[in-house]
Amino acid sequence: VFGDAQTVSEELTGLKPFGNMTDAELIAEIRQGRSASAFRPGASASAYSERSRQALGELLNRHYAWLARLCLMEIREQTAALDCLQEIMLEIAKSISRFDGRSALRTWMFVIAKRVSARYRSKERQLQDRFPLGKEDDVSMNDAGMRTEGDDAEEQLLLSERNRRLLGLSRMLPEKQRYAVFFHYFEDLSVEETAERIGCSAGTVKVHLFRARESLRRFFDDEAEKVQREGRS
Amino acid sequence: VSKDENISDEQIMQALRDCGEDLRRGTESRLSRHRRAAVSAALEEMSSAAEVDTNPKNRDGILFRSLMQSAAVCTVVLGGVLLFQHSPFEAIPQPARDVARTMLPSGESMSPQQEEIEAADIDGELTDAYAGLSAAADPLFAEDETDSDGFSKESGDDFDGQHEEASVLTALAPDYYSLEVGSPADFRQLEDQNDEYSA
Repeated sequence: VFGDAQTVSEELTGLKPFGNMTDAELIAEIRQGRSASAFRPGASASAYSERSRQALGELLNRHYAWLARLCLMEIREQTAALDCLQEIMLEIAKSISRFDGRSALRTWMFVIAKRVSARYRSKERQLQDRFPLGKEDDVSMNDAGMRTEGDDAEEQLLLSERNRRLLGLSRMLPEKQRYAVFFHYFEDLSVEETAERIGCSAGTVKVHLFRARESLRRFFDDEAEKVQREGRS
Repeated sequence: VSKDENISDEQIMQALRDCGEDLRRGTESRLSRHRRAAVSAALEEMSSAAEVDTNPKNRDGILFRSLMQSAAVCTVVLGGVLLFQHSPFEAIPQPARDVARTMLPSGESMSPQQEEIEAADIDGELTDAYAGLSAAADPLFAEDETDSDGFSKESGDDFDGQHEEASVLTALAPDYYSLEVGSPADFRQLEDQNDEYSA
């Protein structure tokens, strides 16, 4: 009788539900909320209106999953990966009102994520250098940068053994090949979309994907050889 | 897969896609609590960043910056107006420029720089001549007292005054005034004729 609840709410309030808005509309909503209340005499709690906060919440929720997967591919230890993800989201929240739309929103977010995760990867590498005797799979770190065990993202996400290994191998690829694999295979984007996200041509993405597959093939071959050798002995 | 078996490209691609799907499933099901916490923390950060802006001290800072910017804009505008008023292009009045242009033979033109120089010279001469003319004319008008017949009380002084004026003009701008007004010798001759006529 009353139709869809969202449609009814839209008709009553005159406001479009956030779930139906595009990214651009959400950003406009965030900006509008800010300009309406920022620097208002007597503004106390926040210069953002409640609606603009809700719009940002919707935007962050919408993009949380792929940013989380990116962090989990980039950083092996889950706590560090989630810390990195948290920092990325804070960066996005702080600077979203300055986003000028010159690039796609996801590309802009990817640039932020790449910059923040590079810092975490570097920290992880330094930790591995400090503990060269430990097996790579056992080395991990917590918030204080201390070595811990059994906190691998792959374990926490209940990935199958083969996929855990594959994710670990993908993490060792060079940066551009890694991102190409992530967007094209893990996120299921087309070559063109991957190229747009990374900021290169489609041909370059194809080259990166080919080289990544070759590297992974070598890893698999070595793995198979090792298994065969162990079986014979 | 054994070492002897070749892993095909398609197998690797499929393995990567499976891995991505597994990863997507894992993040959706396992990270919902972190998602809520991360989003709220980001919203808090957004609010606190905005609070910094609404802090009265910072607002004063913003007000001060706005005032300084306004003052800078006013200075530039005023400076522009003053510069425009005292611009060398506006210092020379248009009549001098017209005179400078008419000095050229027809069909020829002079560059803006030449025109400026010529016009400035002419303007100087005209100004001097005008000053001389005013100085000479003052005593004439000061003695402009007429009797009941409408004639000047000291009619003889008129010629003296004209003579004085003409001398000043001739001395100041001989090129311009000697032809129209005449040389001092002409005036002396005129004076003699006047004496004869008076006699």
